[in-house]
Amino acid sequence: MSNTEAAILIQNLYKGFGSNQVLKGFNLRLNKGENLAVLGKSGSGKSVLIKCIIGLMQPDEGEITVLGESISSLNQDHLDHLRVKIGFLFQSNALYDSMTVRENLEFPLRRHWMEISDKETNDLVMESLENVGLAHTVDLMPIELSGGMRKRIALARTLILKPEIILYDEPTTGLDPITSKEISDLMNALQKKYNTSSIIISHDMNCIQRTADRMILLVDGIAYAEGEFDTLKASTDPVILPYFE
Amino acid sequence: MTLPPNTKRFLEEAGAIAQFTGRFFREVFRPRYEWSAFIQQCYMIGYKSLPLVGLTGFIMGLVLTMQLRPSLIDYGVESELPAMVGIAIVREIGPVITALIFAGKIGSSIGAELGSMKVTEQIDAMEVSGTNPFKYLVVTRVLATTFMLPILVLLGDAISLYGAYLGVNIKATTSFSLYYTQVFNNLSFSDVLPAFVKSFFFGFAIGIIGCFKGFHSSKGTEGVGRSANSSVVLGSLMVFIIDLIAVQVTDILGFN
Amino acid sequence: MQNKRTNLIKLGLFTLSGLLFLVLSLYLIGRNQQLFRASILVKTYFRHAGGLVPGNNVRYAGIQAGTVKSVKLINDTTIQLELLIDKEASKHILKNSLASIGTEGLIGNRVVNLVPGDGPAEPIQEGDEIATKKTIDTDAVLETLSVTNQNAAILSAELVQTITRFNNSSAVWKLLEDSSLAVSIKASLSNIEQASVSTKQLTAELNQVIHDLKQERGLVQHLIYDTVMSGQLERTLAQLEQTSQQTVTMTQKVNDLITGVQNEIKEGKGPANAILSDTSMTGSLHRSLSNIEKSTATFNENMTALQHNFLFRGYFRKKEKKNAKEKSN
Repeated sequence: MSNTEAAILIQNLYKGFGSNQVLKGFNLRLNKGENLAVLGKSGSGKSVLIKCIIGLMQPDEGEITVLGESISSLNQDHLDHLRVKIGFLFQSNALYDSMTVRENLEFPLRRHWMEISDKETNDLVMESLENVGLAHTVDLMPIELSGGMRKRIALARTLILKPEIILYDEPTTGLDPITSKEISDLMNALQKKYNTSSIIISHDMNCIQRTADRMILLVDGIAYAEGEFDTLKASTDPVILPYFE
Repeated sequence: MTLPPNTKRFLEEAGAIAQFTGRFFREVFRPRYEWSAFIQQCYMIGYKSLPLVGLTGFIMGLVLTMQLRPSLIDYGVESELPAMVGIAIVREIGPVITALIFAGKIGSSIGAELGSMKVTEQIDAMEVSGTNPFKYLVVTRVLATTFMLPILVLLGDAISLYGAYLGVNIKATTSFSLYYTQVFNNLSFSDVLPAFVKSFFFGFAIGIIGCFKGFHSSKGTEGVGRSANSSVVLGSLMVFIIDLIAVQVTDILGFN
Repeated sequence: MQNKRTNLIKLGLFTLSGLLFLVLSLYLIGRNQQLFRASILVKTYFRHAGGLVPGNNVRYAGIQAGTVKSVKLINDTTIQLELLIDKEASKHILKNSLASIGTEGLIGNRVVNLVPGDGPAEPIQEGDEIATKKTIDTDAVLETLSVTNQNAAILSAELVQTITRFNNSSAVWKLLEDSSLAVSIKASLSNIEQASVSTKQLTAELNQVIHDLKQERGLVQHLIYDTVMSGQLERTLAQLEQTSQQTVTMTQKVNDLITGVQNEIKEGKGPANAILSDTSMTGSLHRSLSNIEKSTATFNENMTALQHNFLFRGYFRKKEKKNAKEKSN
């Protein structure tokens, strides 16, 4: 394991809000090209974990290394630079209500790569939309789209910068089983196409089964169990069992 | 020392707003400057508010004139009507009414917009996309309110004075040139400039409070509604408080 | 993109029109305050500014000619006004013009009025001083008017009394018919007239003295520190009192005289037709009556003034006390 380069390495991560200690010495290693699922109950600190990875939250203690760089030691410019290589799919999609689909997709492009021609921008936008099969929605407003379409647009926006790592925050929450399956398939397809590494935060077992190579069970602020889906499913540990019922 | 919970909450909020304002001043001078977002906000905040401000200003001018006329007739100074109305509009009614309408329209929309952006993680998404959301959302909006409100006040004054002109002409006949000569003959710089300057502060307060309330919106749609509501209430209150301070400052400076 | 550009144009239009209105209103106000017009500065000095403030208008022959730039107190009795006079108007305003402070309408703003002086002169120039014309201060006018009114009221009341008495007294009517008395009465009346004229003169002089006393600060200070002088003053006052007592005596004598006359009339001696037909005599009667009236009024006033004067306050208070004691006794 140690000879493969780690995309993300988290060591001994602590994070709390007031008296509520959410993460208590969490450890994680994401290898390159790997899909890692983090499973946990609501409020177990899964979202906090990935927000710490991308620098939206500062950990109280511990070390997060992303693509060889320690997040806490970076200044704003370097952090922004690193963020180009990390895609983040928000739970609530976070599409900008006041912008069209095109403007939503252009936003990270214009923000990160200041010198880019209009034609290149347009090409990238169309390519991303075609990847998720929604090229025809380019001039619509997010409010005019269905939940599944919005999730795909958000995915397209996450992918437009061709990130090396993608962080999925509950990608299938609030979607019907069929749409969830479509989204999961899409995630797999894109992972193969762009050879990304990803962390998938979820409690949707179907999604995890479809997409993840390996999974970590987050219980009480620590990585309680780690392994492949089938291995954990076969476990008889009373803590693990309820997740697979 | 134990404080009543309400007092404590109030002081906490006052402190948080002060901190937020401090952050605004730190960010506003630091590059990079979000010019296009600022222009966009100016358009949304300034230009789009003009019809509302114009209509209320027009009605205020008209009504004020009609309300003042009987009293002035009692005192036998009906001919001073344009002068009275002019001074009232330029010094107080124009800035305050415009600011209140502005707080209602813009304060709530900023509070709701930023609130829902916060709740739906759009603010986080911006940060991830290499954008400082404080600069992109807050600084641009606060600057836009600060610079657009005085313009709105000026245009509102102009429309209001026209409404007053129509009001004067309901029961008497005054030519427009006599009307504006009377209005401007009785105005001085000390009427126009303090009113103009204080409207910058009105705009700034409304912007800061709207952004603060939105930026610190609690989760859920209820939180968004609450931040929209409280930004209007607090914004309007601030308008009056600043007005009170402004009149005393101009008094001290001898502009009255 | 197209949409964004039109938005930009709208925003520009919006902002510019707002600023235009600001600039325009500032210009219009500034024009009223003469900020943007070529003008020259002249000075004038007043004892009383009458509520004049910078920015008030200056009128020449009723036409707007400039504004007041500053109102400064330069010593305890002098106020310096700086007037900005339009270059255009200044060509026609001559150096001998007179300045006065007036009002626009009855209750309007204060204005400085410039009126042409007598004779030819050069047009005014930068830094010139314009002489002032003594004006009627409304307050002073009203005060005087009030005193006049009071006097008129007293006068008319007493006149009514006199006439009633006149009407009721058959003796007077008899007197009026007696012609032989006319000459002597005329003579005595002319004496009274003379006396009253000199009383008037006296009171006028006294008035002048008291006026000077009030006005001249130096003298008052002198008085305060000079006890000899105040002693003299007290003596003067005592004499004054004496004089007034004598006047009373004189009036009594006049009364006696008239009573004598009345008696004579009763005896049916006097020819009064002469008086009736002699208008000049009636006139002098009138004059003397009014002179008496005036002089007593002035005297009253002086006494009141004296009483209020702090120098004499003590004296009068003492006197009051004395009076009170005598009464209680």
